[in-house]
Amino acid sequence: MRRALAEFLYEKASTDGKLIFLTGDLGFEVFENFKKDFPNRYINAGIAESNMVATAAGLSAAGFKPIIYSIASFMTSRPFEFIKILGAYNNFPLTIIGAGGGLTYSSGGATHHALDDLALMLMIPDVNVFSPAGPQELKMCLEFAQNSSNTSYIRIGKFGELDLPGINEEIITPHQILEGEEVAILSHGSSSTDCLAAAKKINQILPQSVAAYHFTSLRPINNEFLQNIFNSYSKILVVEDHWPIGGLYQIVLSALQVGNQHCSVDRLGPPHQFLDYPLDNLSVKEKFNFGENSIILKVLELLKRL
Amino acid sequence: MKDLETLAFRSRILTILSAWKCGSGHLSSSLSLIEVLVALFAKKYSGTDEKKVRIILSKGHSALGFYSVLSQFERIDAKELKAYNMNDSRLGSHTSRKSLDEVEFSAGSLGMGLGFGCGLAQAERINKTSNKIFVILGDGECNEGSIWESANYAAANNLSNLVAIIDSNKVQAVARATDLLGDSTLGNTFLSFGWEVVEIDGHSFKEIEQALKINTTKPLAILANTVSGKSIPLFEDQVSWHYRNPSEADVKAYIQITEATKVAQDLIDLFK
Repeated sequence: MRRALAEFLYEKASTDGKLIFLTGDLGFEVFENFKKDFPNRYINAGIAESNMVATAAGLSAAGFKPIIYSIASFMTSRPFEFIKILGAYNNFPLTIIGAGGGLTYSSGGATHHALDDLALMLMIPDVNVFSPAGPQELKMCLEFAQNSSNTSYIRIGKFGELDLPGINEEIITPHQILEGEEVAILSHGSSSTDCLAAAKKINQILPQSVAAYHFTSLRPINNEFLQNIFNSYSKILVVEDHWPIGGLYQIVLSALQVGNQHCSVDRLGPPHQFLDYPLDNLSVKEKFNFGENSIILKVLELLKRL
Repeated sequence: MKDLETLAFRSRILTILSAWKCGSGHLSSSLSLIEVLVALFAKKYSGTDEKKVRIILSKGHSALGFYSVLSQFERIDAKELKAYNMNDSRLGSHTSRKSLDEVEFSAGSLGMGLGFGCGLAQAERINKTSNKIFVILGDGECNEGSIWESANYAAANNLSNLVAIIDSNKVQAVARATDLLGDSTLGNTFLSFGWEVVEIDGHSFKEIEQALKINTTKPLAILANTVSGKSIPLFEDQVSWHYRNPSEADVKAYIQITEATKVAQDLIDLFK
């Protein structure tokens, strides 16, 4: 997805003189073409996230449309107050990219895990929050963000992600990526790829039993559509690469309450603790039961087929 | 337009009257900044293009002083100072850009204005325009690490149109600046970060105006030595007055000692 970001920057810079990109000294060899051909619009702000956000806000105040980039954990925690006060309270719109959301960088240890980034950004009023799964979808999010009068946070992976089927430009409406009738899996970001793979396998043996929905946007969300999902299924499974507080799981629980709905809701995802072992991404999902196999087992359990 | 000394004197009276009437503290940090604010606004409104001088009040708690000076430049009505920090007033205890066009960013959390100024300065660079960005910092505010991230960035990017004015009044919220974090050699610190530095008497218009005229190839730090609570012997240079407010007796004594009625009777009448 970082390549998609670099492509977007390059394409947009030619037509939009206001686009400007700031990085916190990250993105090795990803943005070289952009840097070469638009040197005026590429800023390496150094390993100083708070100043990077403040500088971006000043650029925004001066009429530019900044896109700022760092690793998700560093992008959202360290400069949180600057994002809150300058990006939101003062309403200087910024597009903030957090690379390596969730446990993408699992082997980096807890400092590199972004298991609270969505919660932090959702905590701030008026900030748009996106978690695309693939490159074309990311470009749609960037388009939305750059045209929004609010600050946006976009959590992305690393590289090699494929686009999910059935994603359209209505990014605030959850996308149905697989049809089914008994259980609905709700997810975002990289988890949706695992969910789709798991759900397809189940539907091969038990046709039409599980549906999958992918949330590009956590805010804003088409609430009517969400309530319809609750109306249509008695069992919901939320899978996300985020702590149980403040992410999609919590959004779903709140929406259920508000809509006075009565589905059962289960969750798969990392436990609310610091994960500090060197484990690659696949292994950490195995260990904490939110990878493809765990999703299959959980859905079968919900379908009472275990 | 009245002369600068008169504008400063009237701004001070108004600040003191408002603090007495409305309360809410931070009087001393407003009083120390008056001359700098008057000089900056005079520069801003003296030419044909206001945008040539951008004023960022990073130490947002000097809002009262900021508003008083704005009224003397007729950007707001002095009458509004009677409702400073009162419910539904647009003059809050920290400046808000939603209330006043002259406020470039809503402040109140220290350590943000210099980075914001870097962004504005960088925009000028990209647009090939030459407006100057003045960021007013407190000396206590320079405890914040983010100030130094911004200082580093500004020098590394040769933001020569960025000027930081440090209101060095030596008093912070609950301590003297030097007692808290050692000898406050802010000038040396900015110098070592690659800035041009000039140290002035922050209450001398002659020195302020000279400093504001300096053109450099690096960002410039004007270390303005000021007295917290300037002009009120009772208040001057006292940590306790950072948050205290004057009583009616204090105000009466002030008016008498300074012969304020000669120059600011209209303002005194406003608060009767």
